[in-house]
Amino acid sequence: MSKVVIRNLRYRYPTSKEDVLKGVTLKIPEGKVTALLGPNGSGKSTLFKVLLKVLGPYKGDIYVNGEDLKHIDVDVLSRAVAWVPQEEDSLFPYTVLDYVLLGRTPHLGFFNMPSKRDEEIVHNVLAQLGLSSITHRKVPTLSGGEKKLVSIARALAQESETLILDEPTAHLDIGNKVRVLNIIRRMGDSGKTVIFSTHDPNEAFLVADNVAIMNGGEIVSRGPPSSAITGELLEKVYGVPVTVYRVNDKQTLVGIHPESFKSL
Amino acid sequence: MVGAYTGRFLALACILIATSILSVLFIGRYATNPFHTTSDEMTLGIILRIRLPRVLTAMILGMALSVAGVTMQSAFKNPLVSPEILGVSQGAAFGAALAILFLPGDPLKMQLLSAIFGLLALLASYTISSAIKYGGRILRLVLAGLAVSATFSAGVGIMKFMADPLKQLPELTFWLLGGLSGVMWRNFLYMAPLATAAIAFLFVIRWRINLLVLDDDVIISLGTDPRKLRALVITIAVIATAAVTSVAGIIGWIGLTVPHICRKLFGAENSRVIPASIMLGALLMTIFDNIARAAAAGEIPLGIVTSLLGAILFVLFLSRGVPHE
Repeated sequence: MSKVVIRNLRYRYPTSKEDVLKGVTLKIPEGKVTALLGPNGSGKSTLFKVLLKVLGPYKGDIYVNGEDLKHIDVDVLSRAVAWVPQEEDSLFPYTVLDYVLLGRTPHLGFFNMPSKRDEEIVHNVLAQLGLSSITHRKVPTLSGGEKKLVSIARALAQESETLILDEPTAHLDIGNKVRVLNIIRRMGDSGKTVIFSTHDPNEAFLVADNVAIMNGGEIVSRGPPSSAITGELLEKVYGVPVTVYRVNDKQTLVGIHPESFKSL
Repeated sequence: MVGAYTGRFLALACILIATSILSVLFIGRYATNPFHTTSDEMTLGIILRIRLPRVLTAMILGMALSVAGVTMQSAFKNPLVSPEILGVSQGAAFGAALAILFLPGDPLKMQLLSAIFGLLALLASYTISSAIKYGGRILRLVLAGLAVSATFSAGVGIMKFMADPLKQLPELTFWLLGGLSGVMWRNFLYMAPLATAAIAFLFVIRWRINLLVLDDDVIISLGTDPRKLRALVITIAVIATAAVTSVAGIIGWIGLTVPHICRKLFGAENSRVIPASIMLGALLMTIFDNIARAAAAGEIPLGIVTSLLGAILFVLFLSRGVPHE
C-alpha cells in the first residue's frame, strides 16, 4: 500500500513563467525508505513543500493515507507527516529539550502547554538518537551535526507515520552523515515511511529501499536503487561521466573514474 | 532547572511587592508617615488617590511594554525588535499630538487617537512591506516599519511646529518624553482593562508564541498557520502597547531591555520568559517611576529615566557572559 500517491503534479512559483514540477507521478510505499535523488534545482525541495502544503495551489493529485491533500487541514496533516528542513536558523538560545518539545504542537490545543507525558516522549526520542547528554544545551551552541539530529528529534516527537527529510546530510562531515543515514534506516526498519532527498547516489544505495530520480522537474527513473540507478542515467542527470561500481552483492559505489575526470 | 527558575521568579515577585508597597507608602515629594494614615486624611488621600493609581499604572505599563517586546521579538524572529521598530510608538505619538492640538482637554479622545494611530502604523508597515521588492519578509517588514516611523515622526514634527508655543507645545513635549505625572484613577481605568486583557491573552498563549521563532515551513509542518498566528500576537501586542502609551506617552527601552535580561536569567523559552518579563517589567517600571518622581526637586520625565537606565542595563547584560551560554 502506498502512503503518499502523487499523480501528474504540476507546480509553478507565482513569480515564475515556467513549471518547476512538470507532471510528477510517484508512489511512496508504506513503511519503506524512499530516496529522492537529483541535482540542485531539480525540484526536490519544491515537491516536498507542495506535499507539506507550504506551497500551493498545484495542479494534479496528491493523496496522503488515501485522502486528497486538498481536503486535509494542516493540523491534521501535521499528525500524519513530519518535516526536517535542510537548514534552520536559531537566534534564540532555546535548550534542546524546549526546542524538541515544539514537535508536540500537533497534539496540543491552542491554549495548552506540553504535559509531563509530552516531556517523557521527548526524553525518549532524545535517548533514541543518543542526544540525552545535550538535553539542556543551548541549540545555537551545538555543532552542525548535533543541530541536524535535534531537528530530526523534533520531527520524531511529532509521532507521525511519515517523515520527510530535505537533504539531511547536506554540509555534514562523514561521521555525522553516517549517523544521520543510520537513523533514517532505523526509522524505516521500525515501520515509518521515510522520504529523504539527496544529491548523492551512494546514500540511496546505502539506506533506501526505493529511489526516485528527479531531473528538471520530472521523475526520470524509479524503483529499487540497484535497477533504477545506472551510470548512463546519472551521467545524463548530473552532466558528468559517472561510473557505478558493483563491489559485491551488497555494496555498490558511485564515483568518477580518474580517466573520465582527466578528460573533463 | 525548574527549581532555580521558580526561586528566581519568586524572588522577583517578592521584590516587586515590597517595592510597590514602599513606593505607595513612602516615596514622593510630600513626606508621608504611613503609621498615621488612618488619622491623617491628607496622607491617606495622597496615598490612595495619587500614589496608588500611579504605582499600579507604572506596573501595568512595565508589564505591557515588556510582554509586547517578548512577543514581537518572537514574531519577527529577531531579539532586537521592539514596538518602535514597527512605527507603533511614533504612530501613537502622532495620534496623541493630533488630540493635543485639535481636541484639547479630552484625555479619552487622546488615548483613543493614539491607540488608533498605533494600529494604523502597524497596518501601514504590513501593507508597505508587501510592496517592497528587497530582502526577505522579515527584513521587508522592518524596512517598512522604519519608513512608517519616519513618516509619523515627521507628522509629529509638523504638529510641534503648528502647536501654540505657550499652551500646547509644553504639553506635547512632555507627553513625547513620557511620564506618569498627573495619572489618576480615571486614567488608570481607561487604560487598565484593555492592557490587562492583552497581557493576559499573551500570557495564556505564551508557549504557542515559541513556534514563531521557527522557520515558516516548519511552523506549517507543525500544523499551524504562521501568518495567522503572527498577525494575531502582533495585533494583541500593539493593543497592549497603544493602551499604555496613550496614558504614559513614549516610554522607550523597556520592551527591549526586560526581555533580554529575562532570557539571560531564565533561558529563551517563552513560557518562562513571558511571566518573568511581566514581573521584571512591572518591577523596573515601578523603580524607574520612583526615580522620575523623587530623584530631583521637580518631576523628571519617565521616558528619559527608562531610556537612560534601560540602555545602561541593556549594555551591562549584553556585555556580561558568553552569548547563549
